[in-house]
Amino acid sequence: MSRVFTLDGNTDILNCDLTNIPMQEFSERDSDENKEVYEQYKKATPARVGIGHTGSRYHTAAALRFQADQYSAANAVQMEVPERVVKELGLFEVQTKCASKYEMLTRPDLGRLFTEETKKIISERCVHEPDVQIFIGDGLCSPSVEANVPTMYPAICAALEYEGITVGTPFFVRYCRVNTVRTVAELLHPKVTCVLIGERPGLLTSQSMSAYMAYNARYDMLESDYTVVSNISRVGMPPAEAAANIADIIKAMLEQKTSGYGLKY
Amino acid sequence: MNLKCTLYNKTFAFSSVKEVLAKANEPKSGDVLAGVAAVSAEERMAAKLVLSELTVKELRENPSVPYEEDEVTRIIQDDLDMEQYEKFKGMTIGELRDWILSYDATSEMILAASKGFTSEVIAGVAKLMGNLDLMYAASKLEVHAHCNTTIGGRGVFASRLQPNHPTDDLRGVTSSLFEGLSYACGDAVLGLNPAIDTVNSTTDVLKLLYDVRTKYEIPTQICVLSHISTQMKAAQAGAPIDLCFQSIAGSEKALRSFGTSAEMLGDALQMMTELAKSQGPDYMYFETGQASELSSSSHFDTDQQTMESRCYGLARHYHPFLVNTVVGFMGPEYLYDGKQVIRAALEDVFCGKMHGLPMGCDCCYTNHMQADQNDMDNLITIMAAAGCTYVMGLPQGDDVMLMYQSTGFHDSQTVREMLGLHPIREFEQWAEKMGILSNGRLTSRAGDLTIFR
Amino acid sequence: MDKTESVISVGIDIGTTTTQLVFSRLTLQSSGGYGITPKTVVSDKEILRRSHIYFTPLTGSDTIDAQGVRRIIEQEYAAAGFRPEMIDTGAVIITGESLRKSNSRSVCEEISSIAGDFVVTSAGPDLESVLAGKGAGCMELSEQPENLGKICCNLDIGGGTTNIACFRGGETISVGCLDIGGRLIRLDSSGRIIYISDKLRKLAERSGIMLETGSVLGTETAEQVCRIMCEVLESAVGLAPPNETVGYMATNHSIDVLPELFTFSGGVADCISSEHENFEFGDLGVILGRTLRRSKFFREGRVISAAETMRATVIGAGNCSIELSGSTIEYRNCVFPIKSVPVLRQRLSCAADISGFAERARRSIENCGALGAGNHIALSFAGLKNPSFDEIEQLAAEISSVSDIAGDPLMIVVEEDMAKVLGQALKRRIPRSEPLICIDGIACGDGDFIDIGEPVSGGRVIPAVVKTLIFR
Repeated sequence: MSRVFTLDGNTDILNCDLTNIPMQEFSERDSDENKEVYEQYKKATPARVGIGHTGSRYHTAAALRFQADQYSAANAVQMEVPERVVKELGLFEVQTKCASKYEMLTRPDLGRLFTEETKKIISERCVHEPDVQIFIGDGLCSPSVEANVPTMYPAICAALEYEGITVGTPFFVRYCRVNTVRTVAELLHPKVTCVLIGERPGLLTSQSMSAYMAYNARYDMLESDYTVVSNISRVGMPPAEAAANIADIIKAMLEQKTSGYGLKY
Repeated sequence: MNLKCTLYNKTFAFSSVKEVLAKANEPKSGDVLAGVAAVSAEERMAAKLVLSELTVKELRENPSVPYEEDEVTRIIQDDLDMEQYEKFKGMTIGELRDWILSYDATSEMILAASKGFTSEVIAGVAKLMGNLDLMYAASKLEVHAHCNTTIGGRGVFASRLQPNHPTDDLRGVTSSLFEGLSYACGDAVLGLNPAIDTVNSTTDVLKLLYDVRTKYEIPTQICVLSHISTQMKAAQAGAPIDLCFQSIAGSEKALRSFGTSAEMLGDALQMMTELAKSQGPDYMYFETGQASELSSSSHFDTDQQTMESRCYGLARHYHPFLVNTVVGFMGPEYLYDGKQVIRAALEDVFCGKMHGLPMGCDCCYTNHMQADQNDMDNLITIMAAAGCTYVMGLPQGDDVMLMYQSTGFHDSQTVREMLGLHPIREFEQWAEKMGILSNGRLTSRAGDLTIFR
Repeated sequence: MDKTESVISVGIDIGTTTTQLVFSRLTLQSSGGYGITPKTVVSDKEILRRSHIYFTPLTGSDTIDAQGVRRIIEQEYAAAGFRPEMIDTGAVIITGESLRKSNSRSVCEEISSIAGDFVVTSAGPDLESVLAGKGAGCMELSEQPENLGKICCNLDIGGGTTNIACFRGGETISVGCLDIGGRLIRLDSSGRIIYISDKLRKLAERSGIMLETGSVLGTETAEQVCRIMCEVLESAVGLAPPNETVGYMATNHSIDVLPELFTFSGGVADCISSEHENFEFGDLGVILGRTLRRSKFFREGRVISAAETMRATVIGAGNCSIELSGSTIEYRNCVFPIKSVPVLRQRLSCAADISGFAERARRSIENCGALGAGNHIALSFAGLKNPSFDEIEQLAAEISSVSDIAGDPLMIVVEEDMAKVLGQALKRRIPRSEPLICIDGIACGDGDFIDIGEPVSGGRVIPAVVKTLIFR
């Protein structure tokens, strides 16, 4: 049987769930020489160091671990956010002009636009001119929605409402790109528009989310008018803490009436 | 100038050289997104046919961006070796392709001639070549550059050690650095992409890389790939610098979107001749990648492969030590899948070497493309066969800062062993002295990052 | 995006033999950028002024001359051009045998009132060891990439004690203190012993060397005594076999790791490299230094020269005692600084620990008796790695139910990155007028004291000093 040598000793490759071992603890080194030095190097980076070699190639466990992580990341892009998740979050759903994942990936320009009919639905179902409009997008990482939004959304709202800031009607956008923010803002005219959107997954996590926020967002705003909180995940900035930070940033945007490079925060 | 042809019992007419070049391009999702791609395979073939009959002169006289409006065009045109140009100007692109592939044309002859070709001419030839043509032609060309060591040349397959870390933590960087060195990676450069683009952070990492290079007497060069102005400030304040890096693009407007200009690149080169810790005379390091112009709407309705070739026309003005395409970083809207990435990499390496550049390739993909590590295994092998000068070396190919995958420390060694290639000679001797390599193979000591103590 | 600001820090060290001050400017650098969480670190430490090295004024063998110390400090502040209100942070420490003087606590308090509002007071051999190690540059040495994993050890050899601190990867892993120093024997100008520490006299006796006050100390005997002291140090760090004299000479305890790299600081360190007359300073310092140079430290160990020798401790106190919180924190209605807050450590490292938190916290608050000087306590816990919103809400409910007895302001110090979300949840549960501090990124244990400074970096970050030992 193939075994993964972790720093804690031998682990059973079939039952350990390979992808749950932090890279810092994932090791194929079987020599105890300079063990403490080796451990310090491993601890210092999530990169795949200290994995040894057979011939000039990777050991089986390291090769399989890489493939498992890469598959998970690629899959996170291609997956759809299940309707169940949208329902559990209490959101209604709309779709951009993209008809499929393929179109969303190859036509970022369509991923920010809605049909007239969709615009009408959003306009009818949402409160207009709230202080803040928050919506959720699948972006490049569907699993990030279920992994983070249930913690983030209520935390953001609780903090904003305590400050007397009104939050608009939330909804979910399928095949969503970041610049959907511009389209939503032109429809509902909030002071601040914020999208919580899945970010391109790497091998460290396939559940990572970003928040893109803009004050008085418009079609012709600059990219640098966005304020961004990225790398939100259980291995990056914890979603609960990120939510609290986002609420504070939104509050600062409303006070300073600006966002992006102009915002002092 | 004939922009019309008949094919499949149909007449195809094109309105400009630019349109012919774009439509002759092999399929790329970025050209579709830009609205410049051929609408059908038939139209693509017609464009190739028309392109094959256009002359070197016609392509030179129809640059993708007007001379008056664009400094990149001006550099490409003004740098032309007019003697060579006069010799070749009447040749068609099809004839030029034949000549380059012929036994008559040696590396020296092609590289001398190519000084008389604009980047559009070279891009045009690439469009008429199949993948094996590109590999064969690129592998013929022998290009050298010198900084602390000499890169390029036959039988040498170098690697850049890319020890990136999510927060530029020096200990984390060191882990990846030692790991890579222990696999005999890093002969092209020890080069970090910083997470934090500040003078302080750049200086800290440069010092670390410099200390490691000098302490272990590694015959290589170091670089921190922050913005060129950040590196210049750091160097002027005394940070040790061997190579000065910048991402470049094929139009003045695109360069501006990167916050740089031809003048700034010239200033940096001038500064390097005074401040560099390395020997030179080649001090610059450029990265490119198809579609970076499109992503900043500064492509002037030109296809991405032609714009990429123009990057090399700009690059050769500064006689860089390293140039590589970061071929699969831009995403599926520009290169959709492994097939498109492999094609683009071959075009880039061919065009780069045709410009006399020591062309390397970051064989890479993002997780939202239809590609996986097997495509990179293919690509790195193809690149080595095509005489690509260097590739990237990362811990198992995974970049934990930029969140994409490239090639691993193990991979360049595997390819070297298979194809009988070697690291840069002095570096190989160093690795042998360190007990990492023996007879071209990894020793049992290799891969142990604790040997650097 | 690079933003820097600076704070002025003072270190004051009242030692067995000497008293010194150091004024420094600490540069705080906030980095961040497009989508990157801002982070503030101490990026540079510039020493603005090193004071003269004064002999610590004493009024008797057992009392420090508080007025004398006060005069030194006032004089140095004036010379440096600083008024107390210009000082942002720092530490006063009473070290070595001075700590055992009868009036050390009151001296400390007296100094604190004139040195600056931000200045803290602290002492204890373990903390001294850490500060000396940091000031000597040993901690930084252990952070050097090429030393990753190696244990780096600083020995700060002063007049009365040797403070030992071991670091690995920038973390303190073991500290100790031995009663070994250059002034355990003092001589008058004619070479007669005018003072000898009891412990050293007994240690020498075991080797058959009889030392009495009034007798003349010959060079040969002095060298023998120094060799004995040296051997104790060698055993303590594992260069010589274990020896029970280490335990005997321990001030409190020795270290429990085996270091690879050594640095030396303290007054005796200066005598290792430079030549002096045998009894130039009327003590054993010169000969002890020379003996060390010939010892196993240099023969078998690897010694690296320290960044600071004489002033390591004071520089450590002035430069290295400050910690910065995480950059997402929450506070309101507080007057800073808040000094010497006793820490009550709570069990909370997983979701299952949330229920019963209030009850456990209430018990520990009641057990600890009186709150700190300003009616303060700080509740500290490890925290949750990735809390859900519900868990935060439950925890906030538990904490707010003890806010009535948890002092004023309610202070929460947590390690995991969760202070802002927890702080916001607490704000919603306690009256709007009530002050609150909730910070993360700082570890402190039960019985520690924490000083909380004025927020820096645009109010995003709070500097704190954790004092891990108190007057005994």
